[in-house]
Amino acid sequence: MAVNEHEETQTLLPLAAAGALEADERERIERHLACCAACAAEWERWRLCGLLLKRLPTPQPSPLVVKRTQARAGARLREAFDEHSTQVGIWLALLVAWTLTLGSWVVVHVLTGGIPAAADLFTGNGWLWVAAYTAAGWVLAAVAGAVLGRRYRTSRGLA
Amino acid sequence: MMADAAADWEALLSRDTDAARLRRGDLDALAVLLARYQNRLYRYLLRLVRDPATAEDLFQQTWVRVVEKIRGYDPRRSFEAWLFAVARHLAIDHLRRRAPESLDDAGPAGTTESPAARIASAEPGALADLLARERVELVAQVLAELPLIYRETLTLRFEEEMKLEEIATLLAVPLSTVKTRLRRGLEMMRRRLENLAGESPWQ
Repeated sequence: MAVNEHEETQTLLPLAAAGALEADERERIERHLACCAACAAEWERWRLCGLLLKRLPTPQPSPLVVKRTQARAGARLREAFDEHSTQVGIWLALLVAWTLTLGSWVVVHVLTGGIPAAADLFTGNGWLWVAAYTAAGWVLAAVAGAVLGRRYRTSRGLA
Repeated sequence: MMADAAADWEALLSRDTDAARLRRGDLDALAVLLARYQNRLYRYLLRLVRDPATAEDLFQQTWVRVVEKIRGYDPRRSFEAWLFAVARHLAIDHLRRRAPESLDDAGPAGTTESPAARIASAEPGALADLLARERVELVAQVLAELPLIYRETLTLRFEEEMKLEEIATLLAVPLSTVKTRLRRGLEMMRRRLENLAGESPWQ
């Protein structure tokens, strides 16, 4: 029997007990254990070590803690989804405000000067006016969103 | 064989479905997942922090964090691995906040006499019954006294029955490190068992 094989087996036995050997390592160990009584005895000890760990009783949290956890996590889940819905609502409101801002500018031009005036919008200083008008709309919408969000958080006691 | 595989696959899909329902804000899914993982999660936390009151506190924090972060959970990943990772981060943060000298040296709270000492003082007639019970306590005590990295790896492998690859992902270490920790942890555990109890109580 090779000394190297014996030493290798001794080193790998704890891993064998943990089921952490590669297939080829497992085969080598099995072959060695069949012909080495000392290693076979060692293997029994390591195997027992692993079994004892697997058979440890599972500690359980108290039912009261589980119930409290469910209530607390459930409340937080509802809260988180309410917050998310509000955020989505605010973003949608901002999107609508932005669309209306752009749309109303074009509509006003069409109503007052016809299609050619609307086309003129995209030449000369027209873009500047659109940008300023849009920025103003955005700022107003953002302020409205922030106020709404703050009011919501205050009403839920989050602020 | 095929039936088993189908059942496993069905169970996996059901777990994923519950996680997906939780992601949509379903409170029933929270109850299902909580019931499914409560014992395993608590055991894992208890092995990490070694104090039941702290483990229960972290247990609550974990589920609150889970519902807060559920939108960021990728349903293609295992919910179990994600849940344990959330719990682990909270437990490690807690351990880091504690005094450094007590991070790995302290034994479990409330232990005044070792199981081995109780065995030694037991009446001969009660010894056989006591041995089985004490052996479990002895192993639990020895596991609790191992350094964090070893007791965590051992509990994930032997109690949670996680695959080596899953453990490596959870701990964010290479597979070879997991194997090293398993080997050293088991060696340490066996040495301590033999020192504490001699030959007979744990065999």
